[in-house]
Amino acid sequence: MNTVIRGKVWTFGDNVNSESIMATGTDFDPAKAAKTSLCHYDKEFPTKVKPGDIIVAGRNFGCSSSRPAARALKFLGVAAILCESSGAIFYRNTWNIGVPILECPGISKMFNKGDEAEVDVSTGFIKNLTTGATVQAEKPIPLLLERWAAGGMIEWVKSRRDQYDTLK
Amino acid sequence: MGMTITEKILAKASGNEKVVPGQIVVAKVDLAMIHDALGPLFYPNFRKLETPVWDPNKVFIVVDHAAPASTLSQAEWLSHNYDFVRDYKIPNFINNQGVAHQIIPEGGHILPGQIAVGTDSHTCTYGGLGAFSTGIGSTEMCNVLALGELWFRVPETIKVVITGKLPRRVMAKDIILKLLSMIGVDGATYKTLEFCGETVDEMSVDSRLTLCNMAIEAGAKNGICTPDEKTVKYLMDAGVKREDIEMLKSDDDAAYCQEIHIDVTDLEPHVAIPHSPANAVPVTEVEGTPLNQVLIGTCTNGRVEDFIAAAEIIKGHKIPNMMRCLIMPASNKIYAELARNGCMEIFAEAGCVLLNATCGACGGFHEGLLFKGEACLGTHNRNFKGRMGSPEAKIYLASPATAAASAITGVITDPRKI
Repeated sequence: MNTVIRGKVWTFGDNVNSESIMATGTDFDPAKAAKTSLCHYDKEFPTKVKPGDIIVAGRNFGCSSSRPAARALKFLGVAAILCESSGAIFYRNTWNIGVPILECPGISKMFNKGDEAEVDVSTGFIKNLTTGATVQAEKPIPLLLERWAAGGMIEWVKSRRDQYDTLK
Repeated sequence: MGMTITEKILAKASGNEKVVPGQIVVAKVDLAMIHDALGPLFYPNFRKLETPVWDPNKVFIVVDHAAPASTLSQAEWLSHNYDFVRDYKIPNFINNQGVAHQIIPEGGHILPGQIAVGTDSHTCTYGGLGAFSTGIGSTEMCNVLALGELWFRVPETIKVVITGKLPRRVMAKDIILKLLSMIGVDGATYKTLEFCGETVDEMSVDSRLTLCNMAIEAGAKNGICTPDEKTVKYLMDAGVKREDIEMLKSDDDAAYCQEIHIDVTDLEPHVAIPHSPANAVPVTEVEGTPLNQVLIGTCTNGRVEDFIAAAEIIKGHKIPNMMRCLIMPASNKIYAELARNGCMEIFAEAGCVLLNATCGACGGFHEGLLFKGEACLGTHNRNFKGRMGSPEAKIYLASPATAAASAITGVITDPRKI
């Protein structure tokens, strides 16, 4: 499986909350939420983000609400999220939805908006193709990579069918 | 080296004798809470699994967000909940009776030492009873409903030692706002906030629920208080048998990653200013700020003691007619008690708006949305930009006493001066 992703970078700061990624007034519908996703932080983002783009963010990205905010980002085609750290519920939701999210202290200083990033999701190795800078992110735990490789949480649960009585 | 209460709970539920922070464990879940707003986001996926729910008796579906529906799309969310409850024969279905984070503790549905997960970040509230309780995503709930278990990374624990006697009209909410101002919105990311000390021992279970409710605002995985005789009485009043309650506490030699001390003897009432719960300042710094709305209630501060504190201040006053003062109890049980103890009469005669027990205004779903330029002070837990309607509205967070004092004056007011 190809685990290397390349894309153009959008940058965000610290403590971006999940309510600003998927607003309440959108009924948690990914298509509706995508129209205003992250607009409080970058007005251009919802209209100019392209499939395959990568988000680079600061500390505590996606903090707060348990809503599956990454569905809005997936709808917009965001291919990966690289951040200093993230909200725990958002972090797990995002993997389960099928968007890889890597935590990497120092990452936000390594990228400017518009840079090209390359990330190997399985090893956590990140390159800035524009500047040549590289950094090693925390390697995702096998459990998460397994779910991602299976195509998301649902596919993963299905693949475990034989091991559980409730699924037979 | 001993274990913290959180480590003990995760060890037991994962079949380990000992666990350490950072360890990945797969733990059995004792209670899975789903609410009406996020349930419909995973019901279709769960149906695709073509499997029964692992244990319907351990599942609670609670209609509290669109309770009742105020738009057609909310009415549609509800229909998906009703269908799921019927199709999967979920016995514990709570329909428009209050907010899950009050229904679950007050019903004695979660016990010390158990593990609860819910599709709402404020599920951490139940830690006030000594349970390991945390919010999970709707994606994750599919896994739980199918398998009855979930993976966790054992969190490190921050010990928050609270000492001193709370001054008049200073409440548990002021303590947690103060703590948030000290550590920030990521001060406890993926960690446990363990609240202890004489102030916590002295406070009611309701106040402990308030502390734990806002653990997530510091990014915490869970908040927890050590169960004691007050916990036992609270649960026995809810119909739980004493022998079913497991008393557990952190070992004396348990390891903590950080220790924070707060002496509340001289603590001032605190107000979190826009747009973050961690922006808390002493009320004296923002006194006189004009308000259009006050919200008293929610899963943070919608319990009987909260309304008694508010009613004491509001009694005999009139709400100014350019002000809306919303009263939103956390459950019907609380509503009934407020009717019996006279609080509702005080609120009604003062000109407050008496709302049903719902997430309503707090989450910006219905009943109390803000227009641009408006300002609201509420007893809830989040004041993010746009949460209660217009992104150009301002939201302040405070205790029920500060909210009540501000409701009768129309501006942010120090409750100690009323």
